[in-house]
Amino acid sequence: MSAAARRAGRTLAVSAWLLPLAVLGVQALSRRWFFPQLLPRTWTFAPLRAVLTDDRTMAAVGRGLAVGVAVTAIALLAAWPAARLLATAGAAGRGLIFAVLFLPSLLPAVGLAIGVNTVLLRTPLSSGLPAVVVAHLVPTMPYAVALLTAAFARLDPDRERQAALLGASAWQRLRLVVLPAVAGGVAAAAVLVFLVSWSQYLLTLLAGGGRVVTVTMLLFNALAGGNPSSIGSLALVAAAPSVLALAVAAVGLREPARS
Amino acid sequence: MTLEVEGLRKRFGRGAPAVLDGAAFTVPGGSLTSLLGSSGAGKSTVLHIVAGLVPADDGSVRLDGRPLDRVPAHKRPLTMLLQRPNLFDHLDVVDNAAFGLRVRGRRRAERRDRAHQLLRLVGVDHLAGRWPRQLSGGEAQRVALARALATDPAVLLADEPFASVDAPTRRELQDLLVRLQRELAMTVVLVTHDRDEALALSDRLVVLAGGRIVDEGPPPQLHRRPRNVATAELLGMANHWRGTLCHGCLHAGPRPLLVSAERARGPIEGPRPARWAIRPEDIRIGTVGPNVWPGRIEAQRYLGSATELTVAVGELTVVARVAPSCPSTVGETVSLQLPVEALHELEES
Repeated sequence: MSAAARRAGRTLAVSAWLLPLAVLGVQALSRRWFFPQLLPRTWTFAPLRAVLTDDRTMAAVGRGLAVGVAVTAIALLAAWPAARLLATAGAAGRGLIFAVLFLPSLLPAVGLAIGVNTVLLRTPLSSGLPAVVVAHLVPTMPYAVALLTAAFARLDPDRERQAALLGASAWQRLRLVVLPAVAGGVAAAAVLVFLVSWSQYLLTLLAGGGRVVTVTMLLFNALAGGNPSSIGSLALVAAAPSVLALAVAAVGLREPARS
Repeated sequence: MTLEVEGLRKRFGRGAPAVLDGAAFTVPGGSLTSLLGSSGAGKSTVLHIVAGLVPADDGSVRLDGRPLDRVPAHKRPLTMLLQRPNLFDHLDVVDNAAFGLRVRGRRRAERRDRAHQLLRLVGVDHLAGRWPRQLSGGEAQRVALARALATDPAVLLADEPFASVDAPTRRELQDLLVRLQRELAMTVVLVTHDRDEALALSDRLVVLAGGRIVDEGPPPQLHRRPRNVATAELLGMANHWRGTLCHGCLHAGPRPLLVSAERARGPIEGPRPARWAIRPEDIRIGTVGPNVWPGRIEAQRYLGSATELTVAVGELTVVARVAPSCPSTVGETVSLQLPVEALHELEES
């Protein structure tokens, strides 16, 4: 592929990602914006300021972040050994394991949410924040396992052996050889798991028993209310961690680590 | 430091054939010893067991009398060069060379100084700021050598380290390894299946076949008088025949061959079964006298400094290496002279 074609492809991809965000931004900063106007006649920061200074919104952001970070950490830790095994083990059975892992993703969201909730109701984690975290692990684990497996499959086992032969302990091999080699896969898995968790609505609603309110849930409520500026402002808040996570991952992976 | 390997046995899985079946040998301190064997002979497995990467089913490894069997790989006072350089892609050349010092907790300035010294020693200090992906195969293997030396290993194990580079680079790297081994008085164990490499570099050869050590000694001795078929074949002695030894003659081909008592492994009066061998370059063409076999040239192969002839002698096949100037045509009938002094008896395996 030529450099010009690559540049064009990159521009197209970034535009496709930025355009909806730009539309949300305009909607959040407008007082009235109706068809066929290309841009709103009146601009204002009031709806965005109202959302950003609202205690309920900020509490929902904090809750969503807490759930997302917890789900990401647990999913990555749990997926790590599974992915290592899947990447190094023979091909036999690997397809079946992936099929079982991804099976919940094939179910309709409502069916999955009700099923998870039914199981959780029979455990001490019947509702509340821990229940939401456990519920979010169901749709996120397959992504974590799949992305980490791909990362480990690219890791040459001879590199680890070589490090051991040079005197590196198991912890040093993990820190100095394995982690730098799979950092891209870990970052990609972390971003994806966080985003899937952050944007969950039905699982959060059912597993949280309506008491765990996240930004996504506020956004759904706002959609029912019909105020376009508030919807735009909340949508921007909902999109912010995703944009930030992607930006951090993109910048963090550009420079290789130095000793 | 002297490395002693005793009675190593290894199977990869229950019911699998034995890869090592009691392999035992000694590597004298300060020597370059080559483990020579065909593919699947168990050479690399021996090295991996010595390095601590693979556990042995039985047997032991000692360094200056101290057993290493329970010492994990990263705590053994030795290191290994693998077939590929295995440089760490996320570290530049200096940091790669300094890796062993980093894991030993040396300060950054100290380890970088040492890394530069070693990179200079192996001739790649000018590449210090580059990344592994910017190096040729030979350059990367030089960096890997510097990285191995940085740990001051008591023994350097090398598992076919020159197999993945082109011939001129391989020659340069071989010369570099020998120079460093002499200068630093290192104990080196080199695994190779390349007889020229083993003969040219080693102080001592250890021949592995079927998971056992079948021969060992200085290269000229093994080249001149291999003990058995495995060593003979590995060292290029392509001709060996089984026959009956009787009254100082071997009855194996169209005519009896006179043999020397000095080169026999038992009495030559016989009668007894025996296997004798001769190097292709020791056979002469078109001469008359004792030990002459008539044959027909079946194939010829130009090797540059010699031409290799495959000659059918009755039911036997004889390989002879002659000067390229020696006229020969496929299908031509020739007389092969097998000099008495060039015939050696091999042990029956």
